[in-house]
Amino acid sequence: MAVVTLTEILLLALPITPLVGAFLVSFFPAGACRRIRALGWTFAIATLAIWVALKFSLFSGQGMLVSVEWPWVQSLGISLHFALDETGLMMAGLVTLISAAAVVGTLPILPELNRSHVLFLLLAEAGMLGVVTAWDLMLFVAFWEVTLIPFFFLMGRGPSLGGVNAATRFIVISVASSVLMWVGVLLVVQAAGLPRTFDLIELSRRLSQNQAAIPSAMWLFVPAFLVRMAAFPLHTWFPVACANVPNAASVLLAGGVLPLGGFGLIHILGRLCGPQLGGMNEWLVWVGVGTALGGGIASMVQRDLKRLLANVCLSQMGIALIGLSYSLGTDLSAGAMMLFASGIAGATLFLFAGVVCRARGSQRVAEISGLWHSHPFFAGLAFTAVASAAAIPGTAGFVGVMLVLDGTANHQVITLLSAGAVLLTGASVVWAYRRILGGSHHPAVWGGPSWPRKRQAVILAILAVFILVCGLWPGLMMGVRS
Amino acid sequence: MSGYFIAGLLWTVGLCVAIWGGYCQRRQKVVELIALASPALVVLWASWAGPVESPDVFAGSGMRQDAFSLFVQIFVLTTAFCALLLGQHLKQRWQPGSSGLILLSAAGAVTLPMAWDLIGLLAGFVATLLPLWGLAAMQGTAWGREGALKGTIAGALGAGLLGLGTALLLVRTGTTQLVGTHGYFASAGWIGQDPMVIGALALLLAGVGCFVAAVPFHMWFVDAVESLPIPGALFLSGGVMAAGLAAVTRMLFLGFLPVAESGPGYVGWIEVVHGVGLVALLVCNALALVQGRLKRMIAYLAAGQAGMALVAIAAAGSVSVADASALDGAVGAVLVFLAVFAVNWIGLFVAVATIDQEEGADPAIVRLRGLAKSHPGLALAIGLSLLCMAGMPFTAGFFSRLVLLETMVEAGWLVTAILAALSLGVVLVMSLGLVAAMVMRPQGEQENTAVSPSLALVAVLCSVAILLEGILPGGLLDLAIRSARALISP
Repeated sequence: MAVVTLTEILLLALPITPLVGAFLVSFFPAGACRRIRALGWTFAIATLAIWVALKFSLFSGQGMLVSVEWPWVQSLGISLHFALDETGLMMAGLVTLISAAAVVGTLPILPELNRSHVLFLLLAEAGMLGVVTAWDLMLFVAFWEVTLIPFFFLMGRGPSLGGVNAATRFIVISVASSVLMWVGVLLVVQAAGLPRTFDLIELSRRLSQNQAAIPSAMWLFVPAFLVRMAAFPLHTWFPVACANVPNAASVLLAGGVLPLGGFGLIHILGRLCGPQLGGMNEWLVWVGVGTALGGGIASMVQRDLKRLLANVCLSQMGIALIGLSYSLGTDLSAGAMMLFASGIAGATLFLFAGVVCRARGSQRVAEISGLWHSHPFFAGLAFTAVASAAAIPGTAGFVGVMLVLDGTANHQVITLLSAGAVLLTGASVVWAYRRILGGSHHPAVWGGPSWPRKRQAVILAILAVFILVCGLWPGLMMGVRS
Repeated sequence: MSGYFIAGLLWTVGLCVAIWGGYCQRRQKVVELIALASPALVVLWASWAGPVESPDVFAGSGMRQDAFSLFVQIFVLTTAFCALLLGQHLKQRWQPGSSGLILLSAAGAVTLPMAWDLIGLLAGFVATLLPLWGLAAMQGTAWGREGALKGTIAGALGAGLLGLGTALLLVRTGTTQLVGTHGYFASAGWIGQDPMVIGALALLLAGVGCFVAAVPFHMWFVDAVESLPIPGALFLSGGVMAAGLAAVTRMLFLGFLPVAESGPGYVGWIEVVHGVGLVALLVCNALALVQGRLKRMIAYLAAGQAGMALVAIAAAGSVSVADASALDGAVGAVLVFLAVFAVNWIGLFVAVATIDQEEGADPAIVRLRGLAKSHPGLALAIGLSLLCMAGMPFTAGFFSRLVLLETMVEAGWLVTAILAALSLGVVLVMSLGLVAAMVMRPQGEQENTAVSPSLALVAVLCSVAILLEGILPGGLLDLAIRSARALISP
């Protein structure tokens, strides 16, 4: 099929643009910091601009918005099928925004690692956009796995061994779960019969006539998605990672990897299984409740800022999982909006925390105080993210939580537990924010006057505005479903 | 292309190069060039000539050159060519005449997939391995002699088992030709009543298992790879292993398909090969994780991957028994795996050649640290090979693992498929650990190895092949399936 329309070109440009950027960056000498940074910014912002153009050209659409397909390995029935629907478009927006924020707003852990910092950020963005846009099951698996490599290097590069250990833990648990998905994919394709195809639409059409073959194969998919969502009990890698890895990695993990785990549930399970998930829905809801409550409780007792924020993200993922489980196969608004809200709030919080902790030289909440006296504007910028995490009205987090709680209205126990988890999370994040802003101010302990960089403040401001806009006008992201 | 011609050319050139290199010090460069040219010439000729339309039967119908054997020969000879190039990288440490021994071994290896007769198969294995033991012994070091001795003992054991099994089978069936044994078993019905036949089958399986380093016969292989110089180790663990596994595939499908499944009083080869392969896959991959020396680690990985191939052969057998029309696809999957396996191992031995400082010694894995800084191009090639071995997307390994796992799923072996996939996960974790050592760790105190043009050429060839087959695998898959059709066709 020839590419004829502008939207199709834009769709293909989404994963390709950061890939081209990474390719070009790799040719620069490691010492050319300014040129590498400029190139990284250009490609990250260009990818965001492509998404904006796509968003406005597809704003009034519904169902499958844009699709491009070529055969890849015909003898195996694998195609290069890229497409976007509303949920995919929303997630692509999240990924491009968070990636641009990470490329522009974070610094390499060591100056000499500038090239690899930008290179792996762009590769990670390309991989995540590949996951979002892939509508062929094998293409999805390929992007899903290949994304691990840039993350491994983003997480592991640094002066200490903590990052390497966290990266290794993430990789081991991710690989163990995604190899199960491989087998699940093959079972699904076998159950769909001949001619062999990996195309998601064709598979879902065929499997809708053979639902008996689905459940056992689907259980092989679930661990892969739950690991990436850091859902209980597969969550242990995430707090460790966030506490030890460079800031860019934690921003992308909280804002990209976790929501994409949920997106996998929508994209694969939602399409292949439809509403008839059997007992899986109920099971996933309780996993979500456990994650939300566990994250909320754990965040209350954390004294390390990044671990606290990691647990806040976990709790929000739990809420999103509850929303997804109740809406899989029917209306995805609640879960998808919660994924988006938690992703953007998590990334903003980690960006803020990374800057502050680096300047202070400590991650302990007790040792970070008096920010309001020294940097009131910068500290204030993080408020919207804190408010979103606490589900305060007017923010994206509020919309997401309300949609999820509305979806659980017929299950009062779930509603009660979910609301409790939201309260716990909100209390802990507000407590930490108050501690950081208030307290005594000792200028000598901060890392000098050179922080935050202007670009970091600008990025934080843009993310804050976005959280507010999505809170006040959810239809911007949710399209016709709003 | 005639089978006689390929084997004869390699054998003649190999013999001449070995003798000239051993006894005459003049014109060594020319001799090495001739050695390099012979496998390259055969590969180019075979690629240019296209697929074999009509098989070439020779050696009293005991050998047959067809599309299946030509497919295997192409990647075996590619491995031999790269091994000889790595020999050029070693310069003074690559002894005169050693290239001849590699060619002699390659001459034996190309006969393996052509074997339609058990005697031919036995002769092929012996002819392949003997020159390599000579290569190990020629180093004159203690570990070289030890490796040669162990290899010779294991080879003698394998030959003894295979020969005894063949003799017993000959007594009962009256033939050593695989087509004849197939006919006997197809008409014999129940063989559970015949202990001689069952004993013969057991001995045959043990014999070929010994040659392809299946558990529990893998120990000699690890020691032999460690003791051989880099080109020999590459050819043994890449080319010879792949050719041996292809020969086993032909032997089992051509000669013993009627007794593939178990019956009353006997266990079919599907179950035996399945079990042995699975144990090899799990045990050897796990053992590779704890190795501190690179050649040893690669040898364990090769034995593990051979286990994977054995499981796939068994799965292909199971699929073919249930549906004869599925044989092409299932055996095609095995062929794709073997081709990628051979190319993959070339890249891994680029790593060994890069950090190797002393001939015959097995370099420590820690020497890979900081390689991305000192040799970024080589580190990229080695990293690609490591990721390919783990089946990472957009490398050749992705599709080769996919088709193998698909065969297992088609055979209904869900648990096996999950275990195989998990063992690939183990390999991926190990591969990423090595990549991390190259990229994230500071360089140690070791001296940088100078990159020779031949080493760079091997790295580039290997990387291009891995990426090309990872991004555009359709051609290789189609060719493998077409070649698989010739496996048992009369």
